[in-house]
This record gives sequence, structure tokens and C-alpha cells, in this order.
Amino acid sequence: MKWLIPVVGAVTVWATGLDRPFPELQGPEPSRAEIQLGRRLFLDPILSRDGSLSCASCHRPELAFSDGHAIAVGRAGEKLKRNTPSLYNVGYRKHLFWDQREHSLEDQVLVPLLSEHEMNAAPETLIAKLESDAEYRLLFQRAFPEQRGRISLQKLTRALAAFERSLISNHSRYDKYASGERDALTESEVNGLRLFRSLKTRCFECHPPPTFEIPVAAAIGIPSADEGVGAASGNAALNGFFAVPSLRNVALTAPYMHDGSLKSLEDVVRFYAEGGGRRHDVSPERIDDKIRPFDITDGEIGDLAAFMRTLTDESAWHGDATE
Amino acid sequence: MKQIGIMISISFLVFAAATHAETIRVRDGESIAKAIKRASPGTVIEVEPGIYQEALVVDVPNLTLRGIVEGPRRPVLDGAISAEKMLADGVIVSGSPFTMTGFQVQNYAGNGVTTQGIDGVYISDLIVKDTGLYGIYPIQARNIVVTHCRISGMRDAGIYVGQSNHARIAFNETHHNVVGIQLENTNDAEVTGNLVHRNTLGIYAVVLPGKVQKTGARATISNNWVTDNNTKNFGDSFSFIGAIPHGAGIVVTGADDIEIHGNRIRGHRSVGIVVGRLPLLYSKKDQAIEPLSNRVHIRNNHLAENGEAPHPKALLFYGGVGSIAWDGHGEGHCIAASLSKRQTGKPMPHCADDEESGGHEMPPTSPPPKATAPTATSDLRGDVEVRIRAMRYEPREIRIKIGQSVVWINDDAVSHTVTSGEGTEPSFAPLRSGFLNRGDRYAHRFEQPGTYEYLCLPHVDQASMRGAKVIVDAP
Repeated sequence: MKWLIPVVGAVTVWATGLDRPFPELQGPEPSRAEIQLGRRLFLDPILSRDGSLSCASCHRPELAFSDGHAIAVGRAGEKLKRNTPSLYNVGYRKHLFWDQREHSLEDQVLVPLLSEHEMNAAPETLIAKLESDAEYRLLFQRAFPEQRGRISLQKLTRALAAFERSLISNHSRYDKYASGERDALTESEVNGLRLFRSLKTRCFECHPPPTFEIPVAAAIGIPSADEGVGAASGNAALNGFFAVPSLRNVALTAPYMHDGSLKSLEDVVRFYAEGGGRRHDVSPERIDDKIRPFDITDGEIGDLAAFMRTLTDESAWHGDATE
Repeated sequence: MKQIGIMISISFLVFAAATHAETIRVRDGESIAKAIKRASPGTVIEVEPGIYQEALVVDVPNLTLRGIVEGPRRPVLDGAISAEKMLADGVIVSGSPFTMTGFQVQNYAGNGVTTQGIDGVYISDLIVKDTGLYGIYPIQARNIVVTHCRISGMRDAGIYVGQSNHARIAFNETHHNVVGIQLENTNDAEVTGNLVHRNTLGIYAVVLPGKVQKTGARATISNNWVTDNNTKNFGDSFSFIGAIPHGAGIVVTGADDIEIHGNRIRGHRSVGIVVGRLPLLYSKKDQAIEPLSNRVHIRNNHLAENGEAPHPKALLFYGGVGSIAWDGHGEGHCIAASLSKRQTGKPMPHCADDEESGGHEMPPTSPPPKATAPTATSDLRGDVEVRIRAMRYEPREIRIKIGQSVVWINDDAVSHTVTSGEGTEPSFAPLRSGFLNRGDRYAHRFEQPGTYEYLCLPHVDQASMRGAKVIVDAP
């Protein structure tokens, strides 16, 4: 019943100009068996040395694979460096991490896996533990039928990456609207979408549909000692630059920004409306010139936030490993 | 139950297919936004003259917004909804393709017409005034045609084509903007036959960092009238554009394979033509862009009176002042037969195929493509005819009655215009023909008594091509 009403209520069924193709997935096409294995590994604390953390401890499926903390929390409650990003649509990304320092998911997953501040895995011990588990032996065999032999770190990262590539989010109320169901969004949400595309807010410039991100780094002037891409690349001209995050499922991933310093979507809009870091005496080289103060009413802030909430996926996977 | 829902939606689909390409008429006092809500792919919305205080969003594919132009009257999209409050945007478009003609768009805080990520942008005969940052702003689009528009008062660029491919910007007039026409990280563009005057900078082809599209290559900038772009920069102080010194005609920064020919570039306090690299401050922000300009060919332009009172920062910003400034960076540049040889910085090599490297005054060698304006077609008739031949209007002065029309016909091989203005100073109203190629006609009906003086923009420096008159007797 829940689905019937919007279908009957739809005024039109042709695609709108917002219904745009997604980019190509980066990396190899994941197989079903790889995804299945990757999902199992993702949820299993066996990956951490002391058995206390799984990937899902920080990338919680019900929070669109973020963690709800301002700054990520590592092993034994240790505070890490930056806000935990969502993993939805990560397969489209050319650069990974807030500072864009990795370029493939296979390389990226090794970082939290081996970091002494996070899962702190010892590869040989981990492989041995997996080898001793009959179910994992079977799952690895199915996932990599042509590569006989022992479980390897390479197969493990490939499977985790395959699972991450399967986390596609393209089924939100916004997507229904984009595909022509004009009643899929409320008047306030449609107005929010208009404001989103306005040259007043300029949200769309860095967060265009369908992914609501672009593969570049940008500086918005969050006051922070973190040099982001500048530090990772050694290019001081990019100090204060960070990867542009996707806004898909953004309602589930509060708090916001690389340091989690903004608590709500409304706070984010207000931050931009004040001219981003310009209000906080951040040096102009660390603020994109598209970011400039604009007038916005509380009602408009509400509409914009309401629109962003329509980007929450309705078929999101909430961590049921038996699927 | 679910099946019923699907059946209903299928029947909608059939209904939708059967009703495409309808025309909706919007009358003064009605809402264009409401008409857009009813539109389906292919719908033409005809809007009668009147004031429409609306912000329009077009998501439906293949929509046409056609303003009905009746002499001086046309529909006006006006964002000034009260003395204090302006709407943000005139028109936001996400539906492909999109066609818009015959409107005036004015008084918006952010932007006049923006098209975002679409294929097929057909915009002509718009008058866009004081709409914030940009007048017409296609971004991440392809197959763009913007012709016969008049754009003024933008704090950034009048026409700004960003991160797009295949654009034709022709026969527009842009004035009193910070930048007249800007190509940013845009490939395969043609900027031709435009009148670009009294902006801060005339025509700007630039590659900027931090964009998705990393290149700006293959542009032809030809047969434009680029003059007196000396307006003090009124852009936002912290923006890239807000920092450019006034008084520059055509500037190529970081873009490649650019043909600059047949332009008339005149009266710029700082510099006529600039070829240079993107400043390090910007290029360092993006390793994936190539900051040097390469293969810029400058041929047969008419340069005059440029560089006579340079902005104090012009030398630093443009790498030179005078007629042509090249900072010495990049490869494959050449120059041929531009009128003035004055050049600062490094002298640019002569084009290998240049037979007349002496540089002398010559009309544009490749005439602009055929004008497409309804005012410049070959079947226009008038009560009185004026021929343009051998660089003069014949007859130079005519006397007509109120309500009579005059048709001008260009018999010359070179392009001319019929443009209102006294002496050498164009005023652009009411006569504003755009460029007339050989055989083109332009007609105007005179409804008010008076003396209408006019001139030819490209040839205003010749006495025979200015001071011509239509005298309309009172009844």
C-alpha cells in the first residue's frame, strides 16, 4: 500500500532532465560471490587484531555507513583525525579519503585494516584465522574460483572493495521525482531543490546530480589546523582543501564536514550563507571564490534541508548479513 | 493492488505520448511557472508581453519558452518583487534540450538564465539586465547556441559558458558587465560577430583550476566588435573575476588552439589582446590542468587606441600593456596582419602563411556567418529602401511618414550594421540590426516622429558610415 499512493498520484511518467546517468564504476566489476564474501568480512570483527572492531563499527549501515561521531573513534576509544565518511556510491570515486590520498578501494581498505590506531590487523595472523574457518575457505573459493590456493591479503581487499562497490544509492524520493513523479516531493522540498540549483546558494556547482559530488577537492574555509589535501599531496597551494563529499543520504551522516564541526544540515546552510570561512577570518586562498555570503530566510533554510533529506535512499541496506 | 497502480501509470504514459508538442499561451497577469507545471516534452509556451515576477525552473525535456515580441513590447521576467527583495534566479534549466527567445530578464540577485548539465541550449533574442552574477550561464552543457541577446550589468560575466563543449556565441551585445563573454574550461567554441563594449574585460577564454572539465581548447574568436572595455571592476572583491584590471579587449589565459581573427579591438586603456599563462597562484591548485596557452593565432584584427592609460596592475596581471601582450609562455603562437604592431613583452612570431605581415587596415576577411535574426532575413520589405554600398548609406537621409517602415539592404561584401547613435557614439535604440552580410536586410517601422540618426559599428571611423538619418514627420 505504501507504494501504491505515489504511483497513482503521479501526474507524469516521463523522465525529467534531472534523471541523469551515473558515471562509470571505478575498478573491476564486482561479482556476486565477491560481494557476498566482502559483506561478510565487512561485518566481522575477526579483521581486527583484538576482535573488537569490524569495518561496520565505524561504517554503520543504518547511518549510511557513517558513525554519528564528529571525529572517528578508533581502537579502545581513541579519537582519530577526521569525520567518518559514508560509503554509499564510493565505487564512483576516483580519490578516496577526505585528503584524496588513495586512488583505489583495494589500496584504501588496507589503511584502517593495518593502522595501529584502528583495526591493527597482523596480516599473517589474520590470514591464518580466516584459513582455519571452513565457511571463509568456501566463500573465498567461490569468490576467486580461478585463483586456487591460500587466502591472501589481496583477495581479502578485493572482496571488501567489491562489497563497497555494490553500495549504490540511487533510490531516494529525489530519484522518483527526477524520473518524473512530480508528486514524489513536497512543495517545500521542490523549493529546496530550486534553491539548491540557484546561483544564490550555488550548491549544485560542487554537488550536481546524480551523484551530488564532483571528483575534485575544494576549500570552503572550515576553521581547522588540518591541511587536508595540501598535507597529503605536499602541495601547499591545496592547504585547507578536502574532497567534495556526496550529499546522497546526507540526512543520515551528521555531524558534517571533515571535522564534524557542523551539527545539522541547517547549520551547514547557515555556514555557507555567512560566506563559509570568510566569517571566521580564514585566509581567502583557503576559500573557493564561489563561496560568498547570501541572504536566506529561515523558511528557505528549512526548504533546503528538507530537499537534502529527500536524498536518503529508501532501499538502503541496514546491515542484515543474511541477504 | 500494486498491479492496478502500474496499469494506471502506463495509461498515463500513453496519454503523455499522445499529447506532446502542445502550445500553451500565457497572458499578461497569468503565471509562466504554472504553464511549465502543465508542460510535457515538446511543449511550446508562448508568453504575451507583460511583467512576470517569477522564478522559473524547467525540468521537463525539450521545452520552448517563446516570448511574443510586438515592436518594443515583450514579456519581462522581473525578479524585483518589492523595493527590498529580489528573487534569486530568472530561469534554472535542467531539461534537455531547452529553447528560449524573446524575453527580457531583469532584476534578479543571482543569475538570469542558467542551464545545468544539459545537451542543447538554444537561446536567442533575450535582453538580460542586472541579474546578479551572470546573464546567461550554461554550465557543464553541450551544444549551446546563444545569439542576438543583449546583456548588461553583471557582477561577473554577461555570457558565461562554463565547463561545456560545442558552443556558438554569436551576434550578441554585452556591455557594462565585468566580463562581456567568458569561456571557462570550454572546448570547441565560436565567439563571432558580437558587440562587446564598456565591460571591464571584453572576451575572456580561460582555464581555471578545481573544475571537473580540465581543458579549454579550440575556440574561434572572430569578427567581434570589442571596444572601450574600461569599466571599473565592480565584481566581488574576493572573487577571481573581481581582481581583474579594467581596460582589456580579448584575453586568452591558459586556453589552447585559439583563432583570433577579424576582430575590431579598440579603445582599451590597458591592452587590446592578451595571451598568457594562468598565474601560478591558481595553476598550483590543480595538477591536472595545463596552465600555459598554446597555439594562439592572431590574424587580421584591427587594433586601435589600446594601452594608452593602463590600469596600474595591468602590466602584472596581463603580462603587458599596449596593443598585444604575450608573456612569452606557450608554444605555437603566431600573429599576422594585425593593424598595430605595438607589442609589449616578447614579440610573437609571424604566422608562416602570412603574406602581408606589414599589418594594414583591412576589413574582416572571413565574413561572419549568416545572421539568423528575424530582423536580418532576405525577404523583409519596407515602404522605403536604403541600400548600403561602397561604404555609404544611400540615400544618406530619408524623410518618411509615421507608421512607415524602412528596410536597409547591404550590397557590400563586408558586414555592416544599422545602429542608432549620434556621431561615433552608438546608443543601440531603436535601431539595432546586428551584423548584415551581403544581401541581408533589416527593417524597422517608425511609430514616433523625430530624427533618427544611425551609424555602422564596424565602420564608425569613416565619415560616410555615421550620421545617416531617418526623419519621421509628425502627422
